[in-house]
Amino acid sequence: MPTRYPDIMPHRDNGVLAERRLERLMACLPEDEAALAGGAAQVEDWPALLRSALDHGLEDYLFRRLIRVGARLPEALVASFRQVQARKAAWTLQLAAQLDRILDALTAADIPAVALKGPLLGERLYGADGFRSSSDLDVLVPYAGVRPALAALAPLGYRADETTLARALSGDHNVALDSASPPLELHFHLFRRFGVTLRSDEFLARAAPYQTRSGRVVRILTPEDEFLFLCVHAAAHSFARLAWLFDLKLLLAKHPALDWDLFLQRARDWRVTTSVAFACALLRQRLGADTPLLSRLTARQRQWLSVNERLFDQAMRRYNQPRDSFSDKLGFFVASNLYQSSLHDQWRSRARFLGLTALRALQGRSLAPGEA
Amino acid sequence: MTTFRPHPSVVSTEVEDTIVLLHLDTKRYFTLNSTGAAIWKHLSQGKAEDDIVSALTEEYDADASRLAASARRLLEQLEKAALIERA
Repeated sequence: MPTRYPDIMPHRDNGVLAERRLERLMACLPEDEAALAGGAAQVEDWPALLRSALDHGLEDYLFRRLIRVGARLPEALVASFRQVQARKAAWTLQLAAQLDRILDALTAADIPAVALKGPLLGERLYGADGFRSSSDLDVLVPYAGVRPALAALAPLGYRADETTLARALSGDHNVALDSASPPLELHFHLFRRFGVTLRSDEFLARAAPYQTRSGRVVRILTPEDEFLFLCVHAAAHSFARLAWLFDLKLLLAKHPALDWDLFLQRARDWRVTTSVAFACALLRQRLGADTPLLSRLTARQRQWLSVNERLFDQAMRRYNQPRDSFSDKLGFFVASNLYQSSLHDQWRSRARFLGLTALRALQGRSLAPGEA
Repeated sequence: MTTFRPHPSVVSTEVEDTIVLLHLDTKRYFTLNSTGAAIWKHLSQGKAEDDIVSALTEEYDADASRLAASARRLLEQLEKAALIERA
């Protein structure tokens, strides 16, 4: 069944077959190179695979590993990959250098900060096996520290006008600062979606020191918090990039002793169990990575997980079909929003989401960030 | 004896057997092949040009005068692109 990812990558062409192939190859990694070599022998359309890997942010990691296992790649494709790889390396250098400057500025202003995702996650999870795809930087600061942080970051060119800032603070989890390059998303909550707000204070207080390859000491989320954040983030973006699931797989490989009881407790406390459980279910389905979380769910939660899966598949099926007529568009709208609502933990929150979605559709507007 | 060092605004990363250099001020990037990468590594360790050539002669089975000429060419290019400066 075609299950192409929906929602945020409308520019993609229809690459369902290549996407399935990509999933099968990524399911072999990071550990099973023999299976990867076997899978590579079955690839017929290498350019389509490279395009799909690019779309999903995994081209560097995958093609390095393919070359390492001796996959017979067309020369022209390798040349094309090398160009992409050099550009990505340069962009990652730029991201890393700017992240250093940002963290230095925040430290100098005595503002606690944690780097989320980005090149630092790439360094920790991908290591020398590739560059992680990031289009911007994400840094978490306390809610009360946003204005001081903006003042500290102004010399780097990051600015937000008062209207944008006020709107972000009242309804979003971050303020997007694109007045300098690379763009920065300054998070004042870890995330806000599925009817809940993951407030920053607790995550910042638990953050752990990490020494980067360049010797700098920065603060990062604890493994349990990072897994939770990456699950919720991927779910909020409808798992549109396979790299987001692969991050989770690599995080599991790096932290085999993750405290699952603690993790589940935190997911319950924050009321994000459904989205987290669904991320784990997709992690198993698409990348063959099992987590103990699924076996810890109650019978009712497992039943609901199957509802999530059915709604997701419905939304995907409709997404992959042409949507020329009004009824096709309406069908996709209903299916995708039912799926989104099913990721909320509480009925009241699901109903509110659906009600607001319908209201905003009638008003010809999309949901504001805080309404999702 | 000429000694060069990376320009303070230049960052680099290894990409398998190559090195990608990025000049943070101009945002221009450059890829060095494996020989260029070896030269860059020696240069970053503070070696003078003659010492770089000596080290390359030990690492590569190639004529010393050819290696010296290659190193000179690359250093000129790097200096012209402001990726290195004289120490």
